[in-house]
Amino acid sequence: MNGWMGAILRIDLTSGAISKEALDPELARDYVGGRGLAVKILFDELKMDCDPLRPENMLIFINGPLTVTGALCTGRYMVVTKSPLTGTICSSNSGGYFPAAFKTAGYDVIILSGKAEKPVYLWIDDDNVELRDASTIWGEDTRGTYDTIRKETHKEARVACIGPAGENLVRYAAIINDASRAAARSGVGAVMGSKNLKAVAVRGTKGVKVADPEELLRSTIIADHVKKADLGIAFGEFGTPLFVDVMNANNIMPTKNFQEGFFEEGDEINGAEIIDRTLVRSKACYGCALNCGRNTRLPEDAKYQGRGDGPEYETCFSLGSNICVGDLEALTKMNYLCNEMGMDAMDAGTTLGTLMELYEKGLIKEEDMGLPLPWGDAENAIKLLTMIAKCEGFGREAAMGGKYLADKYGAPEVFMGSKSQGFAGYHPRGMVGQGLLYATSPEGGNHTTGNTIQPEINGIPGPMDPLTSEGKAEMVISRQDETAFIEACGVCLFPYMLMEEGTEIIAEFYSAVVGVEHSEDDVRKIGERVFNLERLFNHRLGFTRKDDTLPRRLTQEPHSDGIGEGNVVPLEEMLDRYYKLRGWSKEGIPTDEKMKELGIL
Amino acid sequence: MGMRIAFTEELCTNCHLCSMFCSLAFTKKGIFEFRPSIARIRVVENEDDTRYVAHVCLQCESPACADACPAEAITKDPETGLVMIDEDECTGCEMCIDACEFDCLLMVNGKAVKCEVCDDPLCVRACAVKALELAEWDEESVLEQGELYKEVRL
Repeated sequence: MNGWMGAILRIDLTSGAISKEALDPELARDYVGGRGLAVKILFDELKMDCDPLRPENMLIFINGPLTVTGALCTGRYMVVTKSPLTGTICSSNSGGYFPAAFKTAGYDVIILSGKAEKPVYLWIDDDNVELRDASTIWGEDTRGTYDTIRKETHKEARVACIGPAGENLVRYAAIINDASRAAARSGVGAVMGSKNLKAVAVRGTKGVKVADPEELLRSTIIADHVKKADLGIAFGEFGTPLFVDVMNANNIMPTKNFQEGFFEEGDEINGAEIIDRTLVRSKACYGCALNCGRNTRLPEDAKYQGRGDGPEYETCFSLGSNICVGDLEALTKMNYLCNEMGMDAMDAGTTLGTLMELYEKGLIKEEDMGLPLPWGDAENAIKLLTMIAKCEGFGREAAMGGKYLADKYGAPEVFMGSKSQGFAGYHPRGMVGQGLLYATSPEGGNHTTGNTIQPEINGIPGPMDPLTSEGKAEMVISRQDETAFIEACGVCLFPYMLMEEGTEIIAEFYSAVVGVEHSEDDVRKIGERVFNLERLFNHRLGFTRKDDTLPRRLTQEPHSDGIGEGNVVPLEEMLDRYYKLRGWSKEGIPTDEKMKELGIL
Repeated sequence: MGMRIAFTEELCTNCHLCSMFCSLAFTKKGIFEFRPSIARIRVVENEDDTRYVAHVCLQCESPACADACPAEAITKDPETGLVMIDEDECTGCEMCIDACEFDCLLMVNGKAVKCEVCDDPLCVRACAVKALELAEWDEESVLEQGELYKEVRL
């Protein structure tokens, strides 16, 4: 098969049984790979009402047909499972080098089920697959695990693993690959921990067949084109933290748990500051021409020490502006800690934001937490992050996430997220389409199931008022469907989301790889199928319109800053139109008619 | 003198596009395959992940690989300056691999292979940051590149 390796690897951790089977070409055609194919597998096989942290849950590692094909930025994989944070289907994606090794080992999919009796790790060396004892590395941080496993297996091995947070079932634990890249969101690391699976290590030497290599060579020309575009240049130079400036300039940089939209100390934690103070060098993921990655190190005379990657923009928001920390060194330290402990820096930040607001309101006290937690208190934030990852003291409670804490301490409205997952760093009061997107995302406050920066803030493809509901339902649907397709292909969202003609280009690459012509409409249709299947999955678990919500702060408290001053998110009005255009009922339930049209039922 | 692939460390981002596209030139006839493990150019990172170095044959003036080859399968072409391996003569003994202190040869299907500089090298075309270029052979820069290879080994 062009594009696909044609093989699924199944591991039953309970019995230790390892088996291989062929990938069904029809499923690959209809659901492609990545998020799409994995959701289909779970829809067909998972006992849907299972407890996400029980052995019945399934954990899927999956790449896509475009991974390692020379198309733009093709070094990504996804982890798909039922989330212990949101209770929904979820897909968490990551770059680095692990994804390419995983694919060239000869597999499109790894399906992990059951629970190992003792800690194990999975070692895949092309066709040789074995479960190995991990009892000596259980408890190790992610960098230590990475180093140890590479020594035990092969110096070229690439490793995806959990840290203490995943072992301790922190509801927002991440899976960290290549010591610094994270499949961060929705608690996929906790699912891995619940299975006693410490790591997956891979070495691959096989090839990926493609139909039309000449067309793919064109990707290097497109790479030049992306790099020459303003945003492309800025991306390579400043990395994702360049968005600190963009968000602040548009008053959509969520600050103080979304109370505000402008962070006064933004200049202290932006891309330029990172270059000045902590950057060692820029780096790329496998097969990427953008190189937005930041290899950083804290200076020797700094209060905190360490080395690693980032912070990325989302962390500049979550553990920076969101909790009023404008100290780049403290922020960087928190970012390293999250990576080393194997924890999502975004939900770690939104959880701290919730706690700081509860503390400000006097609803949670120093004696509850064992430490005071005023806005901007980086030192105690750092202490608390370690307590969370290790589930020590109050950390055990904070490990349940912001939604749990806000409910427990009597102020559900202070949790800034949707479906129990914290928002990303885009303030919906100043870009209301993003609010609709969060509310309807299959996994709540997630920015990788679509993002409205280009249409609402950068005016691409055409001018759009970020503050009103006009055109938003249509725009959000098309962003969600396009993103679902991109994420099914095993590529990075960035270049395709940066380019106005991104969807056209990915359709061309996909056609060139698999050898079957696909138009823009064709790939949108596949994306729509994937998105609707996710919706149906969640619906079967009882999710409907009542769950497509935003906190009162976004829909009733007026925006305080600049451009969007006085604005709120007109969610209900947008939802009505959105469901109608989606072909769902007024309650947001996918109709049989729509499911049949998409070939889902 | 002839040509070689020149590498600038400061520009490299460890993206491996070079090895991906290089491999495309060497897959079996009629099959188009990205198979980085057979690429004649290989990017290596150091332990700290602070240095990225693309190992590709330097086309040495007096190649240690040729000296080490008991089958005399490796020769330096006097006209093009390229160090060439005669596939039919190669016995797969791997002595050339050990002899090259720059880690620029590898084994593929039981035979030693290395960069013999394509006419229009795909690695160079694929390098979006221009860390690779097709350059005239000159001693000074070859020695410099060789030093990098000894510092960041495979």
